[in-house]
Amino acid sequence: MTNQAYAHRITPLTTTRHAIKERNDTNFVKGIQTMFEHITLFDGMSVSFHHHLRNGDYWLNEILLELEKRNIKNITLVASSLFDVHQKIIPLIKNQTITKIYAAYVSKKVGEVISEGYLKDGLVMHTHGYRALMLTHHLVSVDVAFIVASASDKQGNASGSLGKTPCGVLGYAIADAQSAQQVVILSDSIVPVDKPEIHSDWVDVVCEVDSIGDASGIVSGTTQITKDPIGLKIAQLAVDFCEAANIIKENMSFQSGAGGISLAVMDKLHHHLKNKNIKALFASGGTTKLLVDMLEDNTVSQLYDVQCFDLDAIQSLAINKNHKKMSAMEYADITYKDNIANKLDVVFLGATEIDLDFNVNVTTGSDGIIMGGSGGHADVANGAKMTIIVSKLMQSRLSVVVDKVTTISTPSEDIDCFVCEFGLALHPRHQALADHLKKTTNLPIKDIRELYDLAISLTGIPNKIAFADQKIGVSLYRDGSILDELYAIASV
Amino acid sequence: MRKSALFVPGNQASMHVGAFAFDVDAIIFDLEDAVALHHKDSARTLLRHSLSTLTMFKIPKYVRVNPIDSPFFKEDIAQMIQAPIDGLMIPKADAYNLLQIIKWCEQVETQHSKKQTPLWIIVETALGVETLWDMVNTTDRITHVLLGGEDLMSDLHVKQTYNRQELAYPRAKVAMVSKAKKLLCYDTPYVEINNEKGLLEDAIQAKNVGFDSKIAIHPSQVDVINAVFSYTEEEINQAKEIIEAYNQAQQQGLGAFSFKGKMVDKPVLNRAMHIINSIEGNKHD
Amino acid sequence: MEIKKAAQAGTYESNDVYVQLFENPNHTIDIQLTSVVIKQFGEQIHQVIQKTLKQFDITSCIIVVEDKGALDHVLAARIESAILRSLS
Repeated sequence: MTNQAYAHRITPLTTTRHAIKERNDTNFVKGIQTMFEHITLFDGMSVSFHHHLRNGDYWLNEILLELEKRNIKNITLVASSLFDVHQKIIPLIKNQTITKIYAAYVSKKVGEVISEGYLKDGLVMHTHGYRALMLTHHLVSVDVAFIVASASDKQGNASGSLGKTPCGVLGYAIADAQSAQQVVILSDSIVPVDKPEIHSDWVDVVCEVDSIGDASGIVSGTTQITKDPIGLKIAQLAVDFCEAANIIKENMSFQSGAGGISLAVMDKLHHHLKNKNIKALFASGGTTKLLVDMLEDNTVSQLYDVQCFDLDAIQSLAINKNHKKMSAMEYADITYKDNIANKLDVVFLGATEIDLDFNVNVTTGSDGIIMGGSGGHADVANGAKMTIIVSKLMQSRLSVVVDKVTTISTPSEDIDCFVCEFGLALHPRHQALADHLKKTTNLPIKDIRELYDLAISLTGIPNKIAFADQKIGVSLYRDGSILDELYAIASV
Repeated sequence: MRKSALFVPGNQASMHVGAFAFDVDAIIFDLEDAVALHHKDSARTLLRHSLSTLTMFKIPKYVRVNPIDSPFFKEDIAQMIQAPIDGLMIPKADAYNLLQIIKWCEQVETQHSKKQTPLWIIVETALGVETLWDMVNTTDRITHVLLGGEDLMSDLHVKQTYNRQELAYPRAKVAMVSKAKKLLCYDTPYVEINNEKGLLEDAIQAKNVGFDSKIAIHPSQVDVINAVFSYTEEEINQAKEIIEAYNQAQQQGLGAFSFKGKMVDKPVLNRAMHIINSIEGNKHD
Repeated sequence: MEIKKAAQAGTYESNDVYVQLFENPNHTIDIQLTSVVIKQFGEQIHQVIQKTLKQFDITSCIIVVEDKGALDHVLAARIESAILRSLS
């Protein structure tokens, strides 16, 4: 990867602020009011949070509301992801307490408000890997990183595997801890931590709170394997394709997204590998019981885990030496030579839209409203040798295959195959493979245009969404280059 | 040997398109058991529209109408014959009601200048079983015969036994008559949708008696049924042996291996894998 | 023809539509449409509603259409069913 001009930089690269970060003893406090006395607050400050608590998160909202109470304005929010639970910050966007947001994923409740044009200085949507790069290379300066950890000692050695409500690996918080000016750990379990993910060296304040968040929201946010027979058919087709294309082999590596069909692929792949007596080298990504089962019955040698989606994953991480933690840097940062995303043989991902050129949108709905984001999508799509998009052809009259995506989240260069219930389409670069499979198998190989025509013949041609002139943000690629621009939706 | 045929509820709009994603030889849109009484009229209308619109899908389409003694029968036939269908499926058929059914079909066909509609009769009454030979000799419209085990057991006042001995005679009769007249015969649905092992055994039983295939009442049953009826028992056993030999070769660290004196190349291995995978169906933990 | 008797057809399931017909005291056609795809298919859905009403010579009604992404032919079928139920 070449060094690109990082157009969205908000602070020039300096050596002063970071090099002389004072190494004082960590302050241990109880309650966030006392915590605020130990950190510097100012207008225009930037704060960061991780999303390992998903819809069980509590403190992002509370801390930002507290900053509003203290009249702090023009805050830049560097959240690794925003979920529906974060709708409490909507008034703060509207009243310009928060004026800029960096995120890899923004769910619809908050996304809607941004799409309506309320976020004054705009939204930067990036991948998980690029966030790690931005923070560790100080392209984005974080004044205070607030890191919720399920366990911490008083010095700030913290972990997500211990404590009252373990949330699993803190993969997305490591970059924050290493790079922020001030680092605050919030935890409800102040205990000895023997294998810390966050080191006390990086920490300025440890704040004890009553609860880190809502336990049921933390682990139950994960999707289940789809029960829809059409989704299951798509998953089977994806595995059949991999078998026919010689992707299924000893020591293969793979990852899937967290959607219902992607998880079904994991399940079917598991059975297929077992039947063929094949052992995969590793599986990676966000982990679930599905992956843990594969580790435990030896279908896979290792798991590389950047976030735990359920209790089985959290428990396995704590006790199984082959279930390995990874930070966002080790996972997907392109400046990390051995990043896991680049080692993948095959990845199975969802999509909101895929166009005739095989560009993929996971950021905006086809109504133009922000309801997602790349997360690790572009990272692993780029890194993996074979990227397979699995999706139904239509969702409620909306075709997933479109002539041009509303927003590019992952470019055509990184997409290899699209699998839906009516067939599978290979990117033109795989023409030889497509021809070979048509001759030697029964797989329903189609042109992506055929699938598009089928969908449109059923749904009719949708109106193009009208966007306003107001630019509200950008969609960045894993190297920081701008893939697409985000615009406000036109008011009705 | 044939692929399965899938029942699709007549009133469920979302399944009308989705049904065509499955690997079957026929889709049977159901106006009978799958549709509640107060939806019978709207199901019929919806189905008529769906059939006229979804002509881009080439899998043969059938419609199971309501029985002749129901208030819905006549209008079902009248409307469905006007739509582009490959045939009608007639519940509770016997030699007596079949004549009236055909008469009504002829009336509608003449009125709308339609060709003779093929019939797929369901044998699900004692009378239907006994008069099957007469039925297939009365008319050349019949192309398929389906054995309806559930209703038949009701008619006989018996319960299902573990090896379905209550169906031994009806199965044999349906298979025999169908083969004699070169008609396609489909075995009764297996209603325990989550019991894949049970479905596999039941399908094998039907195949052994001479059925061409078996009806699927849920898409999850399609692959298992197709596997049973697509491959001979010899092919299935051979597939198992090939996989066994492959596993042994793997354990000994051998790349290539031979089976019964011949080297096994990838297409052969893949086919064996496919047979085994299909038979094991869609298992989840 | 004017709709006098209230009637409904369809379901609230995904890819379906729930249609309700009522008498309109103003003797006009009053269409009340909500749809999960209103932005993308609003006009097309309106056209199908108007065409189907015309097909059955309906000149007066209040028609409430709650759409969950039904294809055109499903919408036409549900409106037809509601009309037939109203007229029976």
